[in-house]
Amino acid sequence: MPKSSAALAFHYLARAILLSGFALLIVHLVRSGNLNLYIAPRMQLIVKLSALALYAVAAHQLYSAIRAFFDKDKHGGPDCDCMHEMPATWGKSLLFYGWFALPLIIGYVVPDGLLGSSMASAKGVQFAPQTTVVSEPRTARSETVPTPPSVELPSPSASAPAAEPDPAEQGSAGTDATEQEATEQENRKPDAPVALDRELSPEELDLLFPSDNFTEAYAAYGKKLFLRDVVQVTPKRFIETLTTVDLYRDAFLGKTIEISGFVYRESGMGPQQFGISRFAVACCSADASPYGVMATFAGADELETDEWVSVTGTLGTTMYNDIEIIQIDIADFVRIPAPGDPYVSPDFDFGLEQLE
Amino acid sequence: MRWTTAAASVVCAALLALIFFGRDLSEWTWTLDNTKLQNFKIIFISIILEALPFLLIGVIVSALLQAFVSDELVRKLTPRNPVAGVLFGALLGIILPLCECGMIPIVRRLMRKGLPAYIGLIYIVAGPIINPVVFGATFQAFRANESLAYSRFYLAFFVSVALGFILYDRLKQSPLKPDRPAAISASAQSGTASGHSHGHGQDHRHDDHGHNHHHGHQHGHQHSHHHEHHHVDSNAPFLKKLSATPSHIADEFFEMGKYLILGSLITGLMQTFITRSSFAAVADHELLSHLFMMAFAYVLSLCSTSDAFVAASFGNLFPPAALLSFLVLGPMLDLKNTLMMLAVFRKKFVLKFSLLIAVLVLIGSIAFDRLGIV
Repeated sequence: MPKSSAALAFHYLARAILLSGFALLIVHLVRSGNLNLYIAPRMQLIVKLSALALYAVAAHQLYSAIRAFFDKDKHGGPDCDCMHEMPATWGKSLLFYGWFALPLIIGYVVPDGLLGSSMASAKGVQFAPQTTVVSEPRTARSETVPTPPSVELPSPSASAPAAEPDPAEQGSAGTDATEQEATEQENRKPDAPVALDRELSPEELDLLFPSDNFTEAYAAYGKKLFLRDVVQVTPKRFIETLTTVDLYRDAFLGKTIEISGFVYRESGMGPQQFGISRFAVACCSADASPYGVMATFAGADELETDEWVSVTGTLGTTMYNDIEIIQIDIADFVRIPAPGDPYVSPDFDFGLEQLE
Repeated sequence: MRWTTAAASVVCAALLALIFFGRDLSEWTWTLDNTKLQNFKIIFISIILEALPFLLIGVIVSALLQAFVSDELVRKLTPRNPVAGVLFGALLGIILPLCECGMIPIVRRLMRKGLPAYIGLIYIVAGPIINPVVFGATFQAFRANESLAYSRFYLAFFVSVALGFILYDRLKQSPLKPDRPAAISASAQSGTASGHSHGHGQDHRHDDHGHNHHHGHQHGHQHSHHHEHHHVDSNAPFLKKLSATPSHIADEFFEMGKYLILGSLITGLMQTFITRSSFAAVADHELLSHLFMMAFAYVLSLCSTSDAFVAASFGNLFPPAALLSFLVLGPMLDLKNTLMMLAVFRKKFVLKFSLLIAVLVLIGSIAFDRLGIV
C-alpha cells in the first residue's frame, strides 16, 4: 500500500508547520517578554537557540514536502531514500499532529498569567528559609525565647519598636516615620554604612554572626547587611538575603527591612498577616518554589491577594505552624506593577566570590 | 493507538487523584482567565520549552552518530570486561553530561550500533546524576548539608553499579523494542497496532529489502528504525550522509516529542492541582516518607539540574534521607522519562527495570540513613 506522493507531501508539510509553530512560539514569548515567565534567565539562551534549530528542521521538511509533491516518481524524501514513519490513516494523522498542536494551541490561546498565590499555596511557601541551610529547623526555638542580641544593637531609627513576637500587637508603630521615604524607595540606595553610635569591633560582629563551614558565606553576607541602614532584599539575592536574616535573626531583630513581592495568604494566618512572596526558579517554572517572609500590617485589608507590593518595615518574629519565623512589621508599602521578570533565582555566585 | 489509551487512563487517574485529595471540580469555572488553567499552562509549556533544546541536542547527536559513526567503531570502543563496562556506563556522564530528554535517543542509537545494552542502560540511569553540572547545582542547593549532597552521588553510583551487574547477569535479550518487522508483516500486519509482539529485533541489520513494505502499517507509537540499514554501508558519500541528517532529526523529534508532551501534560496537571500540604502527614513515617518522596520525584519529572533546589525547599517537611530518595530516584526514573523509554524499550522491560531501580534506591537510601551517612 504505497503512499501517494501527495499524501507524503502532506505529512512533511504538517511537520514543517508544527516545527515552525514551536519555533514561533518561542519567538513570540521572547518578543512579548513573557519567556521570563517560563524559563530562568540563565537557560534562555539555549531555548532561543533551539528555536533556530527548529526553524532549520522545519525548512528542511518544507523542502521535502515540495520535493515529494513534485517528484511523482520518488517516494522518499529528497535526501534519504527511506520512507519515514508517518501515521497510516487520516484519523491517526489527525490525532498524531493534533497532539503536537495541543501545546501550541494552549501556548498561543491561553493568556500568560503570573504564578501567584494559588500556585504558591499548592507548593507551600517557604517561610523559614534557614531550613535549607541548617538541617535541624529551629522548631523548639521557643525554649530559647527570642533573646535580645548580646551586643547593643545600633537601631537605624531610635524609635524603632522592639520586636514583638505577638502579631496582635504589631502593625501600628512607625507608620508615619518612613512614609515619605517609602514613596520614593525605588531610587533610594541606603548603601552607606550606618552612622553607628559606636563602631562594632570585628570580634563583636563575629559574636553576632557565628558560623561553621556551611554557613560561612551567610555569616559574611550577614555582617555586610548588618552594617547597612536598611536591609534590602533584592531580587538577585532574594533567597540568600532572607536565609541570612532568618539564620541570624537575633542580630537583625528591630532592623528595617525592605522587600517586594506578591501578597500571599493562606489559612492559619492572622487577619493582619500575609506573606510577601516570590517564586524562585532554577531552570524552568516547573521547579518554581515559593519563598517569602511573613508580614503583619494593621491595614492588611487594603491589600489584595496577589497584588505586588514593595514594603518597608521592622523585623521581628512570630510563631507560625509551631515554628518561630521572622516577620516584618510593615511600616509602609507601595503598590508596584508586577515586574517583567517575576521570578528570582538562586544566586550561583553566592559564597563563591571573594567577599570584599 | 496505544499511547492514546495510556494517555486517557492517566488523565482518569489524575482526576481520581483530584477526587482523592478532596478537590471539587465545580470550584473552577473553565474560562481562559482561570488561574488554574494559567498555572497549568505555565508549567506545561515551560517543561516543553526547557526540554526542547536537550531533546534537539539528543536527536541531532543521534542523527550524526547514525550517519558518521560506524558500528565497528562503537564495538571497538566499548569495554569487553563487564566490570569495566559497568564503570564505563556509570561514569560516562562525567564526559558526556546530558539529561534524560537528550539521552534516550542517543543511547538507543548506540545500542543499535552494538553498545551492550547494560552499559547504555546504566548511562541512562547514572548519567543525569553523575555529571559535573548536577554536581555543581546540588552543592549549591545543599551548601549546608554537604553530607546529603555527597550521599546523592555515592548512592547514585552504588545503585547504578548494582543495576549494571544485575542487568549484565539477567539481560539476555535486547531490551529495545523490536524493529518494525520487515516484509513478512507488511501484508499480515497492515493497519494493526500490535507490532510490539514481534521478535524480529535484530532483523533490520541484515535487511536489504526495498522500502515500500514499510508503508502499509505505520503506527504512531512505532519507530522508524528501518532506515538504519541505509547507512550501515559506510561507502555513501559524505554529503549524502550529511543531507540525510535533518530527516532523521525530524523523525526522532516527533517520535520522542509525543511522549515528552504527554509527560509535561501530566506533570503540569499534578503540579497545578495537588497541594503539598496534603501530604505533610506522611513525613513522619520513615518508609512512607521515602516512598512518598520517590513517588513525588517520579511525578514531578524535574530536570536533574534543578531538582536539588526543589528538594531543598522541602527541608522543613521531610528528613534528609527522604530527600536523598527524591534526589536519586528522580533523575533515574520519572514520568517523562518512562514515557520516553516506552518509545524505545519493550514495555515489560521498562516495568521491571523501573521497579528494580525503585527498590534499589529505597534500600540504598534507608541504608545510608541507618549508617548515618546522610
